[in-house]
Amino acid sequence: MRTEFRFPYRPKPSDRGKPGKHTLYPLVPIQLYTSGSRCTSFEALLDSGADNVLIPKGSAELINLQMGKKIGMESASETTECYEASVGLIIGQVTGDRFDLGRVDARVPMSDTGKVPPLLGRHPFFQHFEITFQQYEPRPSYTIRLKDPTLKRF
Amino acid sequence: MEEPEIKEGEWVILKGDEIIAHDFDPKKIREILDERNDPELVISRELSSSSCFY
Repeated sequence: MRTEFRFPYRPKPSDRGKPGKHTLYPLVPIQLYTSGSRCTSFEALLDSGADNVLIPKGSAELINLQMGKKIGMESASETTECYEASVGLIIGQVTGDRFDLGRVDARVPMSDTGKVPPLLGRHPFFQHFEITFQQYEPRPSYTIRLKDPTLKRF
Repeated sequence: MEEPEIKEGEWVILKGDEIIAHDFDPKKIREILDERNDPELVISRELSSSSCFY
């Protein structure tokens, strides 16, 4: 059974297929779900500096995510207000191997100043997978290795 | 007609690398997803090189 998956860093959507040098990002294929909703596929940014899963307000609206208690969240430079939430998280593409992490704790910032996609922080992703970043030319990539054999796979 | 330029922060619907639609309004993105009902559609976001990551 395959336990290691390598993904290339990807440019932002408008740069794809265009010649030239572009900024590349470690984007992870995920699906998010809530109770009573279908899975919605996103590209999340793998962010080893973030503690948790962060769902931007727009993504939360897209999947009709119920927000919980309002709390403060420390970022590198400031404290921002966000909501606690619980969201179903699947790692992988619809057409490939997928791993269901079940419902995970997430944060939904009240403002959208960063204009980021969903962020995949360390908890709980790094507890189930070993992650290696290979950010060197010519093909920057990251590798995830399954460390939790009990994780639901399909 | 030329496709309008994608702006930083817009939500983008992709099928593979093909851009299907883009909009700032999540409700419009949801409508398009529901209309198309295609499991291979993926939502990405037009990143800014100066994005502030939390």
